[in-house]
Amino acid sequence: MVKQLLLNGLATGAGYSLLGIGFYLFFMADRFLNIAAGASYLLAAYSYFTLRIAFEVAHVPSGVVAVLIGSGWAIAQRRIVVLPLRRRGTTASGLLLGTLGLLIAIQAATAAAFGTDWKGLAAAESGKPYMFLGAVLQPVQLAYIICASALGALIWLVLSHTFWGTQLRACASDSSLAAVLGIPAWLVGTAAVALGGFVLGIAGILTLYDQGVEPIRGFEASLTGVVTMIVGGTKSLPPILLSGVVIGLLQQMILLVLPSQWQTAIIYAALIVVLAARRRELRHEFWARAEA
Amino acid sequence: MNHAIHLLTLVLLYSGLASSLELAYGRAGLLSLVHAGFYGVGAYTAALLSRGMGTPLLVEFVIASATAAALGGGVALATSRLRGEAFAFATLAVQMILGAVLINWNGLTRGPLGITAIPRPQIAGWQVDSQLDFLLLTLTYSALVHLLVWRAAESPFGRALHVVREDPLWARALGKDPERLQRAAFVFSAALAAPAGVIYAHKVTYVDPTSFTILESVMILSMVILGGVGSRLGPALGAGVIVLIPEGLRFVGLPSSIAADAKQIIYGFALLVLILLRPRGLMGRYDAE
Repeated sequence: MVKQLLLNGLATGAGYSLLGIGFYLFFMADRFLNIAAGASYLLAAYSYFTLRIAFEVAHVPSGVVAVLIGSGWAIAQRRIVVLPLRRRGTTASGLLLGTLGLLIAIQAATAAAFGTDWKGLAAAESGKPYMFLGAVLQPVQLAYIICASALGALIWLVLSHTFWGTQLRACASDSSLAAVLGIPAWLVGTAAVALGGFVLGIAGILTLYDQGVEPIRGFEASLTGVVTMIVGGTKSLPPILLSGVVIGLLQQMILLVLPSQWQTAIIYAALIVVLAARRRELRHEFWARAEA
Repeated sequence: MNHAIHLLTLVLLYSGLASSLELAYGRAGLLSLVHAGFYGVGAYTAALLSRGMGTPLLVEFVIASATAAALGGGVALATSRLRGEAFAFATLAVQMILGAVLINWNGLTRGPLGITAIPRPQIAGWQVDSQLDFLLLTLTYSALVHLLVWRAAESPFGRALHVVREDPLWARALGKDPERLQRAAFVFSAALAAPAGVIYAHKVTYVDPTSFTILESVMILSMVILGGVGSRLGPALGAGVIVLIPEGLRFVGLPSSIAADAKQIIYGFALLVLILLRPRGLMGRYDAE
């Protein structure tokens, strides 16, 4: 049982790492915790579901369209909401409120269009499970691990070894100075959120094969991404990947003492603990820069 | 006529809730996303006490307020020295945990099924039963909350809160403890929200977790922001607008299956538009941020 819980925790944690990566990219672009990013996850999931079930489009084209919708939403919300608010000098709290309102509206619109019931894709569609070290590994769990590892490695390489990555880190560190030095902050930031929307879109699609989605999941995805990012810190990507795995493992191992329905409460309790324990660092990492 | 009285009762109930949140947010500068949790604590306390022990209504008000205040005190201690976005996220997490408790603690709350058959209350021989009775009760609650919040804002405590809101460092230089003042405002705000839940539980005679979610917290916050932060009558105005505008959806002929979602769309976009275009709301002294 412990082996199964560890494997489940690794896969769940990989899913959280994907959310953390997505939110990290949004954060790098605009230096605030953009809760509306969860809509990328939600819209991609529902788009994929609609294309697969209603229009019987094949997996790959459905996935491509779905993640493009996730990226497109990310770009649109930055252009229409975030940048105008930033230009007005809105503080991080105001940005939080604005993006919270936006996410609520998108979730409600999704509920109106698709209903509030769970949407998922049949286990048969995802393939047969594997045996790994005496535990059962579902194909979607393997997909989570592969996607989180591959995307995490790729994005880390891009951020640390490419010119665009350097520009993004420069803008995140000091956007005013970056502008003075001729770095096209708007373009760099837009590319970052587009990539973030792409990653969140993949997470949304995978969730269809795992637990399924309902409209409120956009909100939960946002919070999970925020927790993963705050626990990992914003200095670089590998700690965020690690924190996702740690949270996933913790959530599964807690089943040894608590019933499963309390699992989600663990994530939120972890957020409060980390916010309180790291408040001095977070003030420097997050809030001071977001106010700049 | 009954529907009009029901709407007015709702407006007054939410007016009281918004006014209590305005104390924490507008006066103390604490962006709280857990207010529906305190409202829910009040409702469930009333349900459990009235069904289990037949407690008088006034006693329920006191116990509900004390329970919410204790919870608010715990939250305030756990989040002390957190500011702005950090505090907001912490309260959001508390709201989600409360939701998980209401859904999963079947032994106490009956989980998703909720608690039914909550009896109508009595106050000193007055049986609160009809729509008009609840209107009077809610009017009394709302008026008291507005009065208490106004008096608190005009008192030395309120003036100190004003300084803390504007510049905590200045407040400290003047010998005030900003965290202690904000904690006190937060706890007081929680205590004032709980009686609304008591009234709600007895009026509807049924409580379940879906009435006290993060969406409810955001709706109450939208009322404060729409009415105007730091304004005496702003919460009442915001409550009136937010509660009554969706009534206009009746005339649009939307199917009932999406009417609830349409309301959420309105609330969400209203919050966004307010922050974008009019952060001071209709009558505010400060910007909502």
